[in-house]
Amino acid sequence: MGNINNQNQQLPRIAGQQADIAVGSPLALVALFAEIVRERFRPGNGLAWVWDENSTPQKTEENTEDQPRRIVIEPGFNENLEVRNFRPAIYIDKGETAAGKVAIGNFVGQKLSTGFRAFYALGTAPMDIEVVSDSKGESAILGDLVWFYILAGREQIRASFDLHELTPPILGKTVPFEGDKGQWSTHISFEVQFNLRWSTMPVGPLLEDIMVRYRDSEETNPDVFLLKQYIK
Amino acid sequence: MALSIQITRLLPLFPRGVFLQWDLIDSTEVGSYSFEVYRSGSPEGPWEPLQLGGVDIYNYSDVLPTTSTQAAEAINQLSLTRGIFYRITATPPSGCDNRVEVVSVVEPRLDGPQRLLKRKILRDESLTFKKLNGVEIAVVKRMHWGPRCTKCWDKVSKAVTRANCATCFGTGFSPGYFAPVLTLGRRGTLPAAKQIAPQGVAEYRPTQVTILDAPKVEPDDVLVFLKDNKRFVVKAVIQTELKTVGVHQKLEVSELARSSVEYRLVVDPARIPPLF
Repeated sequence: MGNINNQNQQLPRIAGQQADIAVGSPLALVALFAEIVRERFRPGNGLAWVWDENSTPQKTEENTEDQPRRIVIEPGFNENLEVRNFRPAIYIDKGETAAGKVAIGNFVGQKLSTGFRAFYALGTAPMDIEVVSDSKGESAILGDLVWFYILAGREQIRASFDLHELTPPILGKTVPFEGDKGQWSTHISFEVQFNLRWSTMPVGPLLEDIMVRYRDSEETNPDVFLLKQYIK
Repeated sequence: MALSIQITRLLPLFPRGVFLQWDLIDSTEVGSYSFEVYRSGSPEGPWEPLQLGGVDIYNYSDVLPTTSTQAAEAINQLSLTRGIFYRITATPPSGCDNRVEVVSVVEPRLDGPQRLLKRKILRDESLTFKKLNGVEIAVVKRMHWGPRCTKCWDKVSKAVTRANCATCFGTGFSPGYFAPVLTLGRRGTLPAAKQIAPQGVAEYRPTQVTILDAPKVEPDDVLVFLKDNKRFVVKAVIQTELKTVGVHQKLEVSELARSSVEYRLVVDPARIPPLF
């Protein structure tokens, strides 16, 4: 995970994403695994394919380790990609997220004096990595490469990004499909589980608490009371 | 009139070979004529010699070899669309300077008025291409037999392990394609369609191309339009026929992705800069 900068070790999320992208949300998970797979194909890793932000093939590409071929690694169904029909390519996508119960009502604790209640659930999301190539052989080889990389690195990935679980990946069949020309696709699928935590705080007891303090203060102006509370 | 060769019969003997028969037209010299027979997957070669120095023999039975190995695939007729080209050269008694040749794909011959009718149809279409709406096309025929690629072909699983191999261009054969054949043709309009797919925005540009009867095109052959260097892969061939003999070829083609390895095929090195 050399170049992945996960500044907050507690979050399954890549640093630098837009603030609207919440932890464990679809875009966070897809970006996380896109970046993890890109890591495997960075220059110097001894592969015949190399990932680069610039996808235009070079004239010197020979599909060898010293003259590797460029590969595209992007989130799936991305409407904003300006590189079209590129092969070989790897696309990362996720399925439906489900929240599973680990306790009755997801309840984990409360504070009686305030009514504060804490909850916990495990979010489960199936991930899908699709490897596309013009030839069956290349699709199968790249699929195997990514599959084994996820399999071998799953404990490290799980620990680095605070995932609760990352199941052993399944390497699918290599099957043909039609595009601008005949293409081949290999799917790698697995599930990730991540922690979901939230809390509720009833507003009634909170307001009553403020009222009691206000009366006890013998302050006649509520604005001044609140200001004093703030300054204090 | 000058000496020429006319192929009188080119009959496939499925699935094991081809029978060829020819005749000389306007042979004025007295003596022995010698003939050479060659075979290829494209009318531009490269040619594989089958019979050299056959004297006064006007036919040849090409028994296809059954000697496929892990390193080389032998030619076969186990395909509905396989096109095999033959070149026959005749050397008159006066020597090589007066040698003549003919190239033909395996297909039936027309006789009499039907032959003239086909010629008329082809002439009209050819004139239309030349004077009105034709553009230069290089037909690059994909190899289906020959030596396997030493760089990316796996002999055991029989798989191409590098789709963008610069040696075989993803075909598994070396060098992947036969020599390009220049011809004229008409390209249909290009409706560019796009759709959101798991692979992002996928673009499609299927169209139709009409060319004459030669060279015979098969699915997976590549067409290069020399005017704009756009390259298309042939998906289907619809042949108009006159008594089972091809007259035109209507090709269903699809424009190749710009990152495709087929854009590295050198098709016209004479141009400056060469088209690759």
